Amino acid sequence: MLQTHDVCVEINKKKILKNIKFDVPAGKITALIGPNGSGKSTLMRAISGEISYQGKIFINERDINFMKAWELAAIRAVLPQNSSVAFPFTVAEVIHIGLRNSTESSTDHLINDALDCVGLLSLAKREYSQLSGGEQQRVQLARVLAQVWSPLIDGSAKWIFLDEPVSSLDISYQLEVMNIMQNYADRGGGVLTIMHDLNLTAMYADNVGLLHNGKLLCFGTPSQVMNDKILSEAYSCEIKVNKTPKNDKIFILPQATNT
Amino acid sequence: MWATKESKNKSILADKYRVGRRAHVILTLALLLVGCFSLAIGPANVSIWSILKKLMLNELLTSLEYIIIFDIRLPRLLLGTCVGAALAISGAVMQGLFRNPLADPGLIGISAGAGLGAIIAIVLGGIIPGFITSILGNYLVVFFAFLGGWATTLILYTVATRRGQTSVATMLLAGIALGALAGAISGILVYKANDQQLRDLTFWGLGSLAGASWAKVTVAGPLIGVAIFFAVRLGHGLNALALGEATAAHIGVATQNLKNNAIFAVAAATGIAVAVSGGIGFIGIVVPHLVRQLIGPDHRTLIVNSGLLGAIILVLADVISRIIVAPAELPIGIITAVIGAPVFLWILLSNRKEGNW
Ligand SMILES: Nc1ncnc2c1ncn2[C@@H]1O[C@H](COP(=O)(O)OP(=O)(O)OP(=O)(O)O)[C@@H](O)[C@H]1O
Ligand SMILES: [Mg+2]
Repeated sequence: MLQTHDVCVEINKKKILKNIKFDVPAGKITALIGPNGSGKSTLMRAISGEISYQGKIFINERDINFMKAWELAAIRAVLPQNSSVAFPFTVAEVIHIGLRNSTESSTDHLINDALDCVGLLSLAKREYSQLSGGEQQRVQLARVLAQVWSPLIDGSAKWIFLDEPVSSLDISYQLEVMNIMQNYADRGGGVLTIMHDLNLTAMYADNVGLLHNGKLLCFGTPSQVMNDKILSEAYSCEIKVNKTPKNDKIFILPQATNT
Repeated sequence: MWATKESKNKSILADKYRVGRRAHVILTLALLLVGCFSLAIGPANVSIWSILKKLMLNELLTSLEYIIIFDIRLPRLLLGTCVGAALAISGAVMQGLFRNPLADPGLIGISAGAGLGAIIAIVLGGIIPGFITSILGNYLVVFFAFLGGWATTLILYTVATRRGQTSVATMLLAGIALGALAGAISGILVYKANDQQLRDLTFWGLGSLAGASWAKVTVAGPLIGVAIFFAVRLGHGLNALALGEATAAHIGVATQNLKNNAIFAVAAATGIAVAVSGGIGFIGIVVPHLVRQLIGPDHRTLIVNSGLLGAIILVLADVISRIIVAPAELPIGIITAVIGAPVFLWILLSNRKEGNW
């Protein structure tokens, strides 16, 4: 379980997050949505222990403020919204660097499996900085997965926090990555992901949190959160939420405003 | 089936780490070889081979031979080794810290800051409280050079780095400004210097090993050893830092500690090198770059390999400086600049091609 209690974040005297309070269960995919600048990444950075905040954040009942960097690294991995790699490290080396506590022989298997998982095994020896944007994003995802490869540790969940993991992927890899998350959650791990694609969110997420101006507008299942009124208000544009005739799945069509 | 999988996996990291470890051995041997070469060469016609022969046959050396080899060439060789290693290592650590291959203690003002510290100690030594000078003794100049380098690195890092990302432009420009400021203050102090101090100061501008002596070797050697010991342990952390400061923290690195230690190691290595040999430029940028090209960017081996190659290159540059205009001697800083400046431009260009600006 990941819990936040009245988390507030202030940067340069500006309140970026106001009293965020929610419980994220492990074994499920939880998506954070909201317009640009609403505070999604800031919230994730607070939960990752990257920035200071008021309030409390617990992962598996432990206050993260009292955990060392290496203790956190053992139970959660983070995919930032933007990442760059300095120096000509290869793809395999990038993932290897992320695995500071592993032993030599299992490391090779782990790198292998993680790259296989995101379909990049053939690029293992290529220089990271020469890959395309989408390939780099998948390498970073592989690094995150490798860090917390088995989703459970002594019966409690490990976590992956992903900031827009599919933002530069083509449609087939978007589905592939969503399936990877699904699989991780099914095996008991916790998944918290920031999403801009509302359709993928509706399709895969078990819970959705909607952020707006630094506040958590609502938190619940996709069908609770994603309706015309709430989404249109949050994103300040007309959004029509539809259901598929066959199986009542939600899908969203943006409405062009000038026709 | 298992065997094929095993061998496929084994190659995935390309075993560059092992190559890097092997390079430690090869470079150490090369350094020994270059060292013998350097002992054998000089304006005085004393050959190392004849001396080795005499030593083996238990014959006595003439006092001239003894002085030239043991009091002139050997301390110079050892000092060159220490300084070359220190400069190259502080370059490698600094580039890891700034996440950029263009960071070099000479180019961005840290050597100038260390030089200012040394000049303050020499010129204003009289007004430094007596108990400090007596505690520090021979280490006074070195210590002040360290302080100067440390302050400069700290200021530079604070100015050039925002949210874990270093702006290359800011780093270079701020470095130029800090270097100019340190140079200007040093210039003012030089006016205040008396004749003896002036003589002490001249070699800083040139950057030279000509002042090598056993006294300097015994001061600088152990301190540089400590700095290298610190620097080598930063390898893991600097690798993580290459993925960005945030990611380094996420994978379990105590980033603030890492940065403090890296700044300390850079300032110590640069400060000591500058205190004993003045501002020898470009070693810190050329050497790590070469090692990265040859073996790869893994800091776990890069730092030691840079130290070894830095020592080799500086000792060779020193040999060149002694023979190229013999019997006169060229300041070694000129040689390193002639080799280093084009390499710097090359890195700059290839960096721009990759769109890192
Ligand atoms: N370091 C900072 N200094 C000042 N303001 C910041 C900082 N970080 C974030 N902000 C501000 O906080 C607000 C929320 O930013 P955040 O990155 O969390 O948005 P987001 O919801 O992730 O947006 P996006 O969908 O564009 O990624 C923005 O208005 C941003 O300008
Ligand atoms: Mg964001």
